[in-house]
Amino acid sequence: MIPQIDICGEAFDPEARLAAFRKALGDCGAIVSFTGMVRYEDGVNALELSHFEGFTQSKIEDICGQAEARWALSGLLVIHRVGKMQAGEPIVLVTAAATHRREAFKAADYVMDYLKSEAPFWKKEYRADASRWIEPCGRDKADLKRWET
Amino acid sequence: MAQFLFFGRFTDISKGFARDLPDGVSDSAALSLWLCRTFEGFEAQWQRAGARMAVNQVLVMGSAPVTIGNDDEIAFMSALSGG
Repeated sequence: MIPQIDICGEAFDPEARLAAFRKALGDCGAIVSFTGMVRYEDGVNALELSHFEGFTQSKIEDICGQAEARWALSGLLVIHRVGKMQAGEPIVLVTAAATHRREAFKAADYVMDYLKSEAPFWKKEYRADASRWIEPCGRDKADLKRWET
Repeated sequence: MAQFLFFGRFTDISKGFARDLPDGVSDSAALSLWLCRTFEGFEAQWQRAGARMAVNQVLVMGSAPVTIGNDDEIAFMSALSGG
């Protein structure tokens, strides 16, 4: 299985990308999909994500490889936005396919947790009069710890 | 010339530049020390949790210094935040 990874600078349509992924898979018992959206937050005008070309792709490939080593998967799709985006836009799509649902649920959850804390992206929030860097919170770190056993 | 790339909070200092390594700077430890002494604001970012360096797209792990030269691409990154 070769994971599909797309780091894209333009808005994407998660439903269309999921449909294309599903069609290409053929016969498959379970597909679990997660779409992360830019949240509406009072006073926030935009969110900007930057990445490290080449390095970011390579780290996401590593994360997908670790998921493949843990669970029997039929397919993995990771789409991650970069650039400036507005509330309500999709920021990330993670889709895992497997013969059985449990593997697909766990793989999607695992990949998403590692994207949050270990994938080379940097997130900046813009307000009317200021901007600030967003970094992983305690909850993100706790989520990652779940996979250490 | 070595290529210096900055990501995340480090971009508040510089977007990046190319320059020869100073005399006597030939590994990652010496380089970070030199940057702390030379660039205002660098040390504060370098001391933050999650800050890391990569040489030619390979993360510098642990305390053992990594040899660097003028042909290398050296990246400094603040804590990561995807998703």
